[in-house]
Amino acid sequence: MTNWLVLDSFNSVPLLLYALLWLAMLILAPKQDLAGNRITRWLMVFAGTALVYTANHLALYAAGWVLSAWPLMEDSRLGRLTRISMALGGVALALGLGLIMQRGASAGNADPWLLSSLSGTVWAGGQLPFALLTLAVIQRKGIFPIHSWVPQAMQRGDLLITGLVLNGHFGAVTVARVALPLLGDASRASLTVLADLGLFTAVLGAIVAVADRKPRRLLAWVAISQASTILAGLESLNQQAITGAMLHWMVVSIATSALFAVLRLVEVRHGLAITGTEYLGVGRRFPRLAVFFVVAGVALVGLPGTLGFISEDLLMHGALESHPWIGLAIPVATALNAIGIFRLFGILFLGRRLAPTMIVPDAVTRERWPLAALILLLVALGLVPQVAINLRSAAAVKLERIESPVALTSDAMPAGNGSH
Amino acid sequence: MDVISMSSDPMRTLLFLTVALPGAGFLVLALSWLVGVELPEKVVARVTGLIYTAAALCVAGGAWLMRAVHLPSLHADYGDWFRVGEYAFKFELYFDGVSLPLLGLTTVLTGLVAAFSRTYMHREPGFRRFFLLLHLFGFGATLGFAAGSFDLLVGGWELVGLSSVLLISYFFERQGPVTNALRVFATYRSADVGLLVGIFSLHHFRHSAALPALDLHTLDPQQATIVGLLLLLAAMSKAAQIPFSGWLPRAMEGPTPSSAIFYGAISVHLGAYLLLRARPLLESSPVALGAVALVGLATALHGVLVGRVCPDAKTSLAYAAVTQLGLIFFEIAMGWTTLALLHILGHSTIRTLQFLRAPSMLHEYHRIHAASGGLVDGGGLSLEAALPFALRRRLYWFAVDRAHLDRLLDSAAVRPLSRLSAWLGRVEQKLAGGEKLAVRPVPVGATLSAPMPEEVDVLHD
Repeated sequence: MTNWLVLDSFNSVPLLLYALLWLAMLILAPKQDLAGNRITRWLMVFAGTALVYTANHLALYAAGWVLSAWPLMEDSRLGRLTRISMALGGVALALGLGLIMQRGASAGNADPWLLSSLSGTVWAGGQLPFALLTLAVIQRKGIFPIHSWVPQAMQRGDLLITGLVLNGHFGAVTVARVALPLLGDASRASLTVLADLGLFTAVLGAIVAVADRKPRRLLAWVAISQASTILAGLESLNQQAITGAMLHWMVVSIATSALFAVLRLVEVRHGLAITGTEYLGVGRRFPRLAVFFVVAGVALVGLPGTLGFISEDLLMHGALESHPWIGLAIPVATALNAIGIFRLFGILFLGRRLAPTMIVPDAVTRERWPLAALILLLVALGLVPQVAINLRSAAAVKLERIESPVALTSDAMPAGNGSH
Repeated sequence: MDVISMSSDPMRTLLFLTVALPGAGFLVLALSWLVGVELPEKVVARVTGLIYTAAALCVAGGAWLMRAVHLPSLHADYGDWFRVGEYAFKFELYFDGVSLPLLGLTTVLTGLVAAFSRTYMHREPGFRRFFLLLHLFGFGATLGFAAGSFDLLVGGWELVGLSSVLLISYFFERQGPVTNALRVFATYRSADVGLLVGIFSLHHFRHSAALPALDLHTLDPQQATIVGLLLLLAAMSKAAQIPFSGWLPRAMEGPTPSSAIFYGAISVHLGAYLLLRARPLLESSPVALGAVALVGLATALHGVLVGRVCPDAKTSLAYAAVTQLGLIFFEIAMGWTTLALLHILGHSTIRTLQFLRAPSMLHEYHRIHAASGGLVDGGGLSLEAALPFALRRRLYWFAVDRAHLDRLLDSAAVRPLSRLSAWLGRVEQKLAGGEKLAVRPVPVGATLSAPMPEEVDVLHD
C-alpha cells in the first residue's frame, strides 16, 4: 500500500479547507438534515472527497469519486437527470483512468496504477482518455452542457450535502492532478476548449439566475457561474491566473458554503417552502444571518475587502493573454451574479414587516461561530491576501511548469512530488 | 511627479491616515457588532466625530507640508498589497491638486453629516448600521480619491456603491426601498463592467494602470476611444447621467443624511473624478471627448426639464444635482478642469446643505403657510408661460415621465435580459423535467423593473 495516498503542496490546502468546511457544515446542519442514516451520506461525501484529493492510486481515485457521488445517486428525491449525470461522470472517469492504466502497462510501466509512476510518461494519442476525463470534469463541475443536474439537486435534495459535493471541485482537481500531468499535449490542446466552455457557463449561469426566483435554484446558478471560471485560470499557462484560480476555488467553496448554510437555516426557521414569490422579511428577526449572507455574497461576487476581489483580479490579469475574452466574461458574469445575490438577499431578509407573534432565535451560538469564522476568513484573507497566495504559490508554480512543454519532468508533477 | 521613499515621512503617514481612519472606524464598529457589544449611540457618534476630525486634519496637514516643500504631487508607495511572480498589486496613493481638495471635502462633509445624523437618527433601530455604512462609505470614497492606480480606484468605487445601496434599503421593512435599491445596484453593477473592462484594456495596451506610470497621452486614438468610452460608461452611471439618471430619485429612499453625502456631495462626483483622471486619455480621442460633452449637455437639459416638475423636495434636489453634474461633465470635456474641480467643491457643499435642510425647511414652510392663512406666494419665475400651450403640455408629459428614460432602459435592457433568462430557465426545467412555473419573465418579489417612487416623505422617509 505504499504510495497509494499522497499529500503534497497541491492537495494539502484544499484538503484542510474541505475538512474545515465539512465540519462547519456539520455543525450548522439542522437536526433534521442529520436524522436517520443521513449522517452516512455526510461521511461518504467527506471520505470520497478526501480520497480524490489524496489518491495516488487510480483505482482509489475512481473509488473516491464514486463514493462522494453516491449520496446523490441513491437519493430517490432527485430526478433521473441528476442520478444519470452522476453515474455518467463516474463511468467516464473510471473508463478514462482505466485506459490510462492500460496504456501505462503496455508501455512497460511497472506501476501503471500509480499517478506518480505515470506522470513521467509523455503520451502520444491520449485523446480518448482525455475525452473521457473531460466528460467527467464537465459533469462534476456542472459545466455546459452537463450542468442542469446542479440546480435540480439543490432544489430537490439535501442542500448542504449537494453543496459539499459541488465544493469538492473535482473537475479542477482532475485537471490539475490527472489530465495535465499525465496526458501532456492531448490535454493542453483540448483544455482550452474546456476553459472556454467554463467561461460560457459562467455567463450562462449568471443570465439564468437573473429571472429564477426559487432561492435554492438561484443560488445554484450563481454557484455554477462563479465556479466555472476556475478552469480558465488553471489552464492559462500563467502563474498569476493559476494562483487566482486556486484562490477563487477557496472563495467559491467558503462563500457558497456559508450562503447554502444561511439559506438552509432560514428555511428551517421559516418552516414552509420558500417560493420566492414574496418577500420573507426576516431581516429584523435574524440580523446576524442577514449579515453573514451579505458578506458571503459580496465575497463570492468579488467585491473589495474580501478574498473574492483578489482572486478575480489575479484571474483577469493572469489570463489576459491566453483568454482575452475572460476580461469580458468575468465582469459580465459577476455583475449579473451580484444582482442575483442581492435579489435573493431581498427576497429572504427584506421587504416586509413581520408581526412579532412568533419568537424564533437568530443564529444561535452553535451557528454563529462557524458562520463568523467563514466570513472572517473571507475578509481577513481579502485584507491580507499574501497569506493565501503564499499557501498556494508552490502548487501554482508546479502547475505552471507542467503546463510548459519544456518542463515535462517527473519532479514537476504534483502527484509525484509529495511526501507519502 | 515625485516618488517618496519608504522612509517614515510625515506626509506619507498623514495622508495614509486619511484613508485608514475611516476604514478603522468601520472595522471597530463591525467587530464590536460581531462579538455582541452594542456600543451606545453617544460613543458611536463621538468616535465618528473624532475619526473625521482627525482625517480632515491629516489632509490639511499633508497638504500644508507638501506646499511647504513645494511638492506639486506626491506618489506614495506603501509597498505591495500582494504579489504573485512578477505581478504586484501595489498599495500606492497619489496626492495632487485634484485629489487633495476632494479628500478634504469628503472628510469634512462626512464628519458634518455624521454630526447631523447623531440627532436625526437618534433612537432609530438601525442607528449603528447607519454609522457602520457611513464609515464604509468614508473609507471607499477616500480610497477612491487617493488611489494611485485605476486598480485601487475600483476598490473605493465598489465600496461606495455597496454602502450606497445598503443605505437606500435602510428602511428595509418596506418594499419600495428594497426594489429601488435593487434597481440602483443593478445600474451600478452593469455600468461598472465598463470600468473593469476599461482598466483591463489599459493593462492590455499599457501593461499598467498606475496613475503616475501611465502616459495616457501616448495611447493611439483607437485605443484611447475604446478605453475612454468604457470609462465614460462607468462615470455616467455613478454620476446619474442620461440614460442612467433614473436611479437618482430612486436612491432618495434612504435616510436624508445619506442622501446628502452620497447624492448631493461625494458619491455622484466620483464619476466626474474618474473623468478628470482620465482626461489625458480623452484628449487623444475626439470621439470620447465629444461623447463626454454630449452626455453632459444633454443631461444638464434633461435635469433642468425634469427638475421643474418634481413633486417632492428630495427628488427636485436630485435633478438639480443631475443638472450640475451634466455641466461638470461638459466642463471636463472642454478642458476646463480647474473650473470643473471648483464646480464639484461648490456644488457638493451647497447641495449637502440643501439636502440636510430640506426636512426642516418644508416643516417651516408648512407652518408659515398655515399661519398666513394659505396666502404664501409660491414665488419663482414661470418661464414656461412664454411657450405655446400645446408645447408646454408635451414638455410637461415628457418631463413628468422623466424623459421616458426608465422605460427606455427597461425595454432596451431589463426586459430582453429577463426574457432571455426566463427562456433559458424554461429550457433548463424542461430538460430537468418538472417545476414548470418556477421561472417567469419578470421576477416577482424583487424586480428590476420596480415602479418609480411617486413621492418621498422627506420628514422621515
